[in-house]
Amino acid sequence: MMLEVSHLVVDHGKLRALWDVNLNVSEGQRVGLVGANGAGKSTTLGAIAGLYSAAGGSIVYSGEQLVHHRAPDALARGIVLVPEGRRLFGEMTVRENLRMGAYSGRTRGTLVEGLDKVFALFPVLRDKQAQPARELSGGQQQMVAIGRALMSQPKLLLLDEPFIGVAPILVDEIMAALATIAADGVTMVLVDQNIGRALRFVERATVIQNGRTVLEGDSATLLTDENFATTFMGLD
Amino acid sequence: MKRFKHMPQFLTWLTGITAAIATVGFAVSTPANAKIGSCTEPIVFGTTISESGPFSTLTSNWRKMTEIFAEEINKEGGIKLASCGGKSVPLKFAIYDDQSVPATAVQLYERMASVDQVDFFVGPDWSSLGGPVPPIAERHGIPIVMGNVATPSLYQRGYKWVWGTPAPAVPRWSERYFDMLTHVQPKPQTIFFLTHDNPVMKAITAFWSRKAAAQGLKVVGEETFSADLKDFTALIAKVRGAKPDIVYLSSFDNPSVPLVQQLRQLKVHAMDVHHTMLTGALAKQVGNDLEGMTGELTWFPSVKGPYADLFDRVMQRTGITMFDSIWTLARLDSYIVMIQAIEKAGSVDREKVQKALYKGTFKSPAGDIVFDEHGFPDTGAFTIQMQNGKVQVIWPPDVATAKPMWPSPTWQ
Amino acid sequence: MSIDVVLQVLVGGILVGGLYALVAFGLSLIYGVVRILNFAHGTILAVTGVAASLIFARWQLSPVLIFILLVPSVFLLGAVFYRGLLHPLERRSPLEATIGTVLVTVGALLILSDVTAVLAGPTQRNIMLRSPVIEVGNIVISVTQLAILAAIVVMTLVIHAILKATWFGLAVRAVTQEPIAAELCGARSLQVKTLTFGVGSATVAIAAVLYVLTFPVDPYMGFGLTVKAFTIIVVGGIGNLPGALIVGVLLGVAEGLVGLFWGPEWSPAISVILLLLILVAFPAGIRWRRG
Repeated sequence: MMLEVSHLVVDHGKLRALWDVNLNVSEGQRVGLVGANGAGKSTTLGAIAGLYSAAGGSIVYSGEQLVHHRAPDALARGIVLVPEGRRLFGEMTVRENLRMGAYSGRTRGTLVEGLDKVFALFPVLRDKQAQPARELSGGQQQMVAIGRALMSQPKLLLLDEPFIGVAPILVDEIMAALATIAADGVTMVLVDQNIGRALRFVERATVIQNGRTVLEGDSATLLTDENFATTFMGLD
Repeated sequence: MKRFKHMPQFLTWLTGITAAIATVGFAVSTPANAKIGSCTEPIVFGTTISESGPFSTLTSNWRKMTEIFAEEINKEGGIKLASCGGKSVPLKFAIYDDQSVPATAVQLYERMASVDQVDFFVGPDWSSLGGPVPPIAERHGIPIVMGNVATPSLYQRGYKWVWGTPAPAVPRWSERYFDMLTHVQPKPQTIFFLTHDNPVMKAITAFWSRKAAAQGLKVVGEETFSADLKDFTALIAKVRGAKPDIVYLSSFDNPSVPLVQQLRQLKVHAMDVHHTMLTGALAKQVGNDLEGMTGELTWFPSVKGPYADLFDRVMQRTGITMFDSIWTLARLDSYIVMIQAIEKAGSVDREKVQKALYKGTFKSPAGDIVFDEHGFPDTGAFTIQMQNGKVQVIWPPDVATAKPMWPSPTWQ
Repeated sequence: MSIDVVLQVLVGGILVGGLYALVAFGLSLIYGVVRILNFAHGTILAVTGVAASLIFARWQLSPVLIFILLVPSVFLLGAVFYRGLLHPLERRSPLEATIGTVLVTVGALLILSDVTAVLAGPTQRNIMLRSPVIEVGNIVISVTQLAILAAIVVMTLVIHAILKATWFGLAVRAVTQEPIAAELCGARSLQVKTLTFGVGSATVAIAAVLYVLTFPVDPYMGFGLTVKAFTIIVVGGIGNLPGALIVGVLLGVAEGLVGLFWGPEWSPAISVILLLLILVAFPAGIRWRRG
């Protein structure tokens, strides 16, 4: 198992966000993390990526228990998060944003190759590389965010709502790019509010409700599970 | 270790507490003072010196100087008292640090009057202290001769017990310089005043710009600057634009450092640039920039007035010179005037000493000090010029050590 | 008033304003990355300036050598100051941390000033190099002033290049704009913040050495400069170098012109008045267009 999250507890100040989250991801797998707004999906990804400290439970990555790790520590191990809302460096150019993805010592040497790879995946960015990131459309900004994460050479890529604010036509393009990335052997955890879309992309899914893991299974099974469909997918 | 010349602000309150504790402690032991009629106990002069705070740069070594002064007086017997059949009584000082703070000075003088019970007050300096301190002398009926309190209006408050020996006094500050200006060739036609925003300096400019106009000099500019101004470009541009023959700087030495430097850097031309406080401290800071400038010096040892030897000896033993410490004369004058007043009264009776001081004339190395009815003196100053790195007295001619270089070659 | 006089004041204003801008760069860098208002910022200039003057008076070293000596030292002191005194406060609650940093930086301001005054004396000092002057009509510009102007331009370009081209500069801008994303990209915030505090302080040290070549410094002059730097970054924008340079020069020129037409005792008030006007007129801040 590449990632084993067991009984994870996370507090935001005095508020408990996660009570008991379990998440298992095998190497090369695509896993979905689904649930209602505020269920704790972003917090789970953030805790894995080192943005939040665990107040209980454990995160084991490639056999190593991560304790009070910070984001740069996670990054050094190949855990890379594409954060919700993209969080681009708006005043910096597209190229500078991508360069920032290669900031850690491990990846500085392969800056040029990294950029070529990103531009091959998202050709539109090549022409926009000198523009400030904030001038791009939502979909293009998302490409930059994913490209920036790729610059960090992820082994485990955590994607938090990558399709919010993205025009439908670009959703497919980004989806295709993610498939390509996955095909290269990058393990993925995807959080997407569109559960149907998520389940079609991932192989397995974990369902979180009120900070607890409530269900886990193959996406194909879940899609046909009537109980699941009525509870979590509404009319979708 | 170097003695601390300056009291940090964050330490002042600490010092205040220490002083308060010390006050309580001292209150138990009363120092000896001369009871009226006693001919054995020393006469005690109470004084404060600004040993810390902003004025501390002007008073270095004054405590030591004051102690040496008493030693020198006592070496020659002390203060002669007719009431003791011509017997002499030794002089003693009670000295405190007023921290350059008026409120501290007030507390200390109150304390010296009620706790230490000193006989007379001498010395406090600066107009900011010279305002609040005299009422204490008035209330206790203790004669006070202040040192460097030069603002005349401070004396015009109907006091009975207050005198001062500022040197020079504002109305005589640049008297000799302006006299010189009527004698030099080529004769200056115009003058520009640059004034440090400070009561004494503004009083000097107010008085002397009127005098300048009265003697036919055209005042082509009057500008004021604050003590913390660093960039004088605007002022100097105005000076350059007005092309005055004389630039008159009325300023304390430290705030004028950038002004003097920038006058040089911006190549101001004039017949002379005059500084009301051409001091050794300024010379140390701006060096050669002072060359050829004129200024005032209240006294210098080669003018052999009364007590000149005594003052010279005290200053030499202390290791200070008049040029480095131009405020020293007024300080020592306050001591020597009080001694003369006591000897004239022939008694330590404060009433009699007060009568002796009133409109009295006293000897000083720089000439007679004549008090008006307000207790204000008429001390003047000599005009000096920096010539080849040395201070030379250039006016009046009868005591001059060198001829004026005119027009001053460094401003051409 | 002749045009010469006005031009002369303009030259002086540009020079002073350029120095203000350098001081503001450092404050802006530090605030952008560390989010601490360093009240002791201007005092670093005063103290470094006094140190530079003393070194010059004692050993007659060339200003370039003094520069090489002092700038790295101040860099280190700045870094140590942040790491030792300010960083530990970040573990506190936001309110305590804010009050703590104000107390620490204001305390540093007082202590630095007082200690310098005790050790070096409270008098003004500088390195007055008497240099040849260029006279154009009635306008006088000294070679030193030109050299300082050149140095300001070079330093602005160097700082700009550092921010633009180096990994450190990239991280500084990234942390300023999106601290969380910067962390996710592997920029360790403590490291970047410590370095930034050092670089920001070093920037002031650079300004200090240039400053004492024309104007005297005294241990207590720092806070006035800090206020001017605050004004410049509020008007010019946090982390906006060209903005700071423009506003700095405008402020310097405005001070000069006020001194000329009104009286120099009013000049120090200009920065505060300007700040208030801008805050009232642009409550949402000024949006600077990128060139």
